[in-house]
Formats: sequence, structure tokens, C-alpha cells
Amino acid sequence: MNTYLYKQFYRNRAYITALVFLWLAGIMAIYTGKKFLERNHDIIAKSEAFQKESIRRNVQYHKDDLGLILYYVKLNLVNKTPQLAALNIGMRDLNPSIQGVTIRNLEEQRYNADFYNPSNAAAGNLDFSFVLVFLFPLIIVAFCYNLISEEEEKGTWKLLHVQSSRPGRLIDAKMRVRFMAVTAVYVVLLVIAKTWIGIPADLPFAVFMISGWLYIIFWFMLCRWIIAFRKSSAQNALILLILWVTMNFIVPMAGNMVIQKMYPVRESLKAVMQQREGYHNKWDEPKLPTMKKFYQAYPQFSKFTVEENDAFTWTWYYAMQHMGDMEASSSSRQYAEKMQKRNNAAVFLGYLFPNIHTQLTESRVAGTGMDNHLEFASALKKFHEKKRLFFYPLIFSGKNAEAVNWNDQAVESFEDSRNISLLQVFLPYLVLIILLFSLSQTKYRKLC
Amino acid sequence: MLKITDLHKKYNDFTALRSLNLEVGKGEIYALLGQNGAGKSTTINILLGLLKPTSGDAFINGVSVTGYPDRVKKDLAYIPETVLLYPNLTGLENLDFFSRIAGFEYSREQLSGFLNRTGLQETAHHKMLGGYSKGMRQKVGIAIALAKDAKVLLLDEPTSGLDPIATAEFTEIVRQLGQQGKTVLMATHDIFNAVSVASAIGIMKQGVLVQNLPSKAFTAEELQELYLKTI
Repeated sequence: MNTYLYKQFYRNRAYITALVFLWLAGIMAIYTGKKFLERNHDIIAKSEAFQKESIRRNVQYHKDDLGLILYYVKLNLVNKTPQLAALNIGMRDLNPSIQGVTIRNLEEQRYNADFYNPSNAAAGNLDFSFVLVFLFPLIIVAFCYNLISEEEEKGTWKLLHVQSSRPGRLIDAKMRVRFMAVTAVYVVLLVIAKTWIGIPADLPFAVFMISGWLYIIFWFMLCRWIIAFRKSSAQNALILLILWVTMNFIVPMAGNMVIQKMYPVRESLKAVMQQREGYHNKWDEPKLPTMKKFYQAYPQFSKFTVEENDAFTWTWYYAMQHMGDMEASSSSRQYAEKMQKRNNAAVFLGYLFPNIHTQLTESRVAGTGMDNHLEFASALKKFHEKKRLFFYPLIFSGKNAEAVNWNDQAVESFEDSRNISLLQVFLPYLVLIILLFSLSQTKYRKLC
Repeated sequence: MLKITDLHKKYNDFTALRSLNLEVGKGEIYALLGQNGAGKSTTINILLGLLKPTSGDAFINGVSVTGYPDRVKKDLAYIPETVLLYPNLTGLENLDFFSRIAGFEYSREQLSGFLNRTGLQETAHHKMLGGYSKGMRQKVGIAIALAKDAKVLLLDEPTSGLDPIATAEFTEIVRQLGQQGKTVLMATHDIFNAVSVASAIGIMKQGVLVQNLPSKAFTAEELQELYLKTI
């Protein structure tokens, strides 16, 4: 029987065209991701050379003034981009994968990192996750919306009903044929991606693959439930398309609005303004109160004293810079906390809507999501602080460029090492799949 | 073999069947005549398990249609007015597919044998059904019924739209099935066909079986006169 179901399916040119379309869209997405990754790796590779060159020139021109060298030299921290990011570009097209900072105040520099043309970012990227989340369901709907109604409308249902003691099983077998075809396209695309991009066969890749596959199963189960109501083909198609639009557009947009309303984030601008005022105002204020606050934060530097006069010293300058960050620290922390809350709310929404869950899961394992961005921001702060604490005593004690082994000042990397909770990833899918299967099963029994 | 007892079917205010009682024995061919909406197809749909009666029951080989629809299906074959099958399978593949879902697995020779018995030309066996005429599709429908080897055949206006030659061929096959001991219930508008093949004839009007007659007692013309008077 299955042979004939396969024959019926593969002899239908419309189905084959749909599978080819899906495959081509997937290949385009993989190519887009590969190009993104190559560009990303290229920038990271070049940054190493740029940093060395910048240090060389600054040391050459200001070798007696370490404070001035560090005023200019940017030290880069790379947010390591896993190969898997090619399949889910996520926020990496907006948020940089490499950030260069001087040891001056950090808050001002956080947002100075546009490596990409913003117009490209506005257009968005056709990555593999987009194809999976948006296009796969459309093809699944097109394959399944009329599995029962087609038989009724074409007049074969009565004969099937009389011939088979379990017509529900036959419908399931037809669905299985379509599921196998869609799964085959999905697996082939992932195998191509893995080989072409060189994605390692590790846990994140396995989680990526399985979550996508469970998302596909979810859509098949949703179709199974909807068609079990025995509406006409037109009604089934309409209902499933409404669900697709609702899940992929209306819910995310409405959810985003609600989350923004729940957690308004005004702190990013506030932090920038506070650091600017915190630093710039210090030029017009007496030096000693600034230094007092600085010494409170770093008692180890209290031996580097500053006189209350008109003379410029790097100790005073960097203390002023430091004050900018200190005065913006509360807003900066609140910003990070609220962004985390927004992310948590989105994760919660994802438990109810597998399309959101899939996007979040895949961007999480690919290291391209908001949580990775926040982790990187936190790592950047630590990196910046580490550099400050290394250079401050050298600058404050009036050392020149020769006091530093500049070869040690290479580009550093941040690697997202958060654990993946398999339960948290897979349970939402499994709950919804089992629920939809159970709901449709009661109706399928009545088909007999 | 086929027994209907006090069968009622109501759709809201409309009564499609009213206290239908009928018995068709082994090897008998019973023709149900009546206008559109008289209740013929409703009766067949209840026997197929596609509709639930409002009250009453029917029995195929002693098994209740309402109580054990799955068991009843094993003894039933059905040929509709227009046999609609899968256009992207060949005639032979359609026959094999519908046989397999009924639980029968035949060799290609056996499948060809069923198609040959219906008079379908060998050259057509391996053509896609999309290119079949209605008469050819009806023959595949008969082959499906033959392959199922069901005890009871339900035919719902099976010769409607067939040309005279195809009708004659079909009638002959039905007659042979009766001779082989199959019980046939045939809803039809074709009085001449009914007289020529059926062992008994019923006339339905507004859900009621108003006449139940042995066919041999009438010529086609007499039956037509009676039919026109009755409805």
C-alpha cells in the first residue's frame, strides 16, 4: 500500500516542484550563511593585523607617552562565531562579533561598532532558520491541508471507507509519505550545510537539527488535527494559513509590543548621557573630588597622587574617564537586566509558540541570540577592566612604551560556554506534539 | 444475507427514510427504483456505515451495521455511480492499492485476471487512470469489488452515464455475480436494466418502500407504467 502512496505523491508534479523550491530556498539560505560566516571570519582575521599595526604606529609616534598610546590604541575582543551561526545568523548581523575598545570609558564605546552596512541589516538575511520557521510550514500545509477532504471532494472517500476498516490509518500513511519527503529535504540540506560550511558534529548541531525536526513534526501534527475536523479543502487551507500568519507574524509582533511595554528600556541612552556628563563635567571641577572617588574604587592606585593645579596628568585624565563609567554603571546594569528580562519573556512566549521557540533555541545554540549578546557585553566589560588594571599603573607611574610587551596585546576571544538544557529545549515541542496528536486521535478514531 | 429492519433516517425536519424493511437473500439481485431524493442512496450510505440511522438497523450476514461497522465492511463491496480512483496510478495499480487496503495481496497475473473478467482491455491495464473513460473506470470499480470477494455488493446507480454497450457489459457482470451467490442491492433509475437483471424490484417514494415486487412478473413496459403511477 505504501508503495502506491509514494507513487501517488511522487507522480504529482506540484509536490515535486514544492520540494525542489524548498530545497533551493534552503541552499540559498546555506549560501547566505556561508557568505556571512566568511565575511565574519575575514573581519576577525583582519582585526588581528589592524590591532598590531595600530600598536606599531602609536608606539612609533608616541613611544615616550604611554598614556597617549593607550588613548588611541583599540584592543579587540572577539565574540567567537560558531560555524553553526551560518544556519542562524540571528542578531549577529546587527550586533558585532568583534568589538575594539580603548581603555577610556566603556559606555561611550559600546555602540561604536558598525562593521556592516545598516541597509543590509534592514533588509535582513535569508538564513536557514528563516527557511525552516517560515517556509517549511507553508509546504507542509500545502501537502496536508486536503489529505481527507481531497478524498471526499474527488469521490474516493466512500470507496476507501468501504475497502479499509481503518481509513484513519490510511490518512496517517499518506501523511507519513509527506513527512518523509519533507524530512528528507531537511536532512539533505543539513548534510550539505555541515559538509559545505564545516559545521562540527557536536551537541549544539544535534540540538539544532533535532529542534528543527521537532518543529516540522509539530506542523504535521497541527495539520493532522485541523484536517480531522473534516472541513472542506478551502476551509482547511484558510484555517492553516491563518494559523501560520498568526504564529509567524501576529503573535511575535504583538508579543514584542507587550514585552516592550512591560520592560521599557530607556537606560541605554541614559547610560551614554550619564557617562558623557560624568566624564566631561569633571574637566570643569576640582581634581581632588574626582581622584577621591577613583581611589575609593581602586585603593591600590592611591599612591599615584594628583595635585590640585592646572597641569594635565594622565592619572587625572583616566580617573575622569573612569568616573564616566562609574556614574553610568547603575543605568548600564539596569539596561542589561531589562534586556535579560525581555529575553526571558520571549523565551516564555516560545514555550507556547514553537516557531518562536525554534528561533530562540537555534539562535541560542548558534550563539547568535540576545543571551549571547548580553554575555558578550558582560565579557567586554571584564576585558575592558582587565586592560585598564594592566595599563593604569604603567601609565600613572610615567612609564614609556618600552615598559609593555606589546606582543602580549593580541586580540582576545570570548566563547559562549553556557550549558544547553535539553529538557528546556525539547519539552515544549513534545508537549504540543503529544497534545495535538491526542486531540486529533479522538477524531481519527471516528473516521473508522 | 442482507436484512433491513425498521430503518429511519431524519435530517432535522426532513425524513429521508421511513420505516424501511427489506430482505435480500444469497444470490439475489434487488433493484431499488425511485426518484432523486427517494432514499435509495441514504439506504446504501447507512449500509456502508457512512451514515448513522435515526432508528432501526440493518444486518449483513447477520452482523449489525450500526453495532459492528468494521466487521460488516469485510463482507461489503461498493460501486458508486461514478467510480473515482487515483488518476496518477494505472488501472492495475489502483486495483492493487484498493485490494491491499482491504487486506488482499494478489499477484500481477491475478490482478490482470480481475480486470480481464470485467472486459477491460489488456492494453489499458497499465495506462494512467487519468486517461480512462467513465466505462473503463466502472470496470476497474467492478474489479475492485471482485478482488474483495465480498458477499454483498452495493451498487449506487452504477450504469448512469454509461453508453449502451458498457451498460450491457456491466449488467452481464452483475448477473454473473448473482449466479455466483453474491447478494446485490442496486439503486438505479434504469427500469429496463432493473427488469433484465434483478430478481426483485422495490420502488421508493419519499423515504418509503411503496412497492416490493418480483421482477419476473413484469415486462419493462409494465414496470415503467407501474413506476410512473407509483411516484
